[in-house]
Amino acid sequence: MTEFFADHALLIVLAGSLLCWTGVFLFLLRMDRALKHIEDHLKQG
Amino acid sequence: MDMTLLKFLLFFWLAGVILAAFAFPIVPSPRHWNEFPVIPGLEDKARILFFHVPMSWTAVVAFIISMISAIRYLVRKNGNDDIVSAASAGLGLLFCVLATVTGSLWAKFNWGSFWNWDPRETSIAILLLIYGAYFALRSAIDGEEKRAMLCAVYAILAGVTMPFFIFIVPRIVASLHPEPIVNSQGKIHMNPTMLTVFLASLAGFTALYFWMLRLRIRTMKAEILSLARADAA
Repeated sequence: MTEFFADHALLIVLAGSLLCWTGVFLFLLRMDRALKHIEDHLKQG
Repeated sequence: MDMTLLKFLLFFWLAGVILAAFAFPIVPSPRHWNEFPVIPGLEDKARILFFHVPMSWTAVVAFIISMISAIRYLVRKNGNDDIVSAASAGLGLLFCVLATVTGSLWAKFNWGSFWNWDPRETSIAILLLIYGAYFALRSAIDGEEKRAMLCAVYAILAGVTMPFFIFIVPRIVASLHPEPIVNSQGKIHMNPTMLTVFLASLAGFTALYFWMLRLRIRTMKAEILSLARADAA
């Protein structure tokens, strides 16, 4: 098991980093859309 | 240009940086455009450079913008400047924490321990405490104007100390930390492929900061507006 992680360390870090960045990006995108919705709601009110 | 398109462009831009940073091989003498040279003593650990330095850079940009907005607040007494200053200080703190974490990870593999009280580590810890205190101060004052005024003064003082802790201390005290990107002669010694990926990462992180800053400002304004509405009702 340890050998597997040692052999594929860069690949694991690359996949983990891409996954993290995708998560952060989607979170920011959703937040952006939710804010737009709240701003529209506040403007109407 | 459509903002959504720009956001997706940023996604692919930084995904490209991550791919290049971890997928490009490190070879003793690079012959192709997609190869990094071996840096003696660092080897694969040099890859952290593409994230650690841009995160520190973004923290510096955020702290400077926080200070400029604080000065603008003291001059114009406009609540928007206080919001920008607080939002930028928060993001600066976030990127500073990320730079500290990536630096600690690197230290673990290179120096054998996550924390060594190296001058770089000590100065960044003090900077984190200074900006942590900014938010303690912010949450301790009730009056809106008084809070904005005191926080603006504090943000300026914190902003003045920041270059000292990030740029001056590590250069005047002996440190194990590798030489900064812009060395003491004011020159950048880096392989062209590494420099391209590094500059792309710098641009990507800066763009990400401005997007996050815009989101934070909008969130804070919406909070203030909805609280005012609730009070009026």
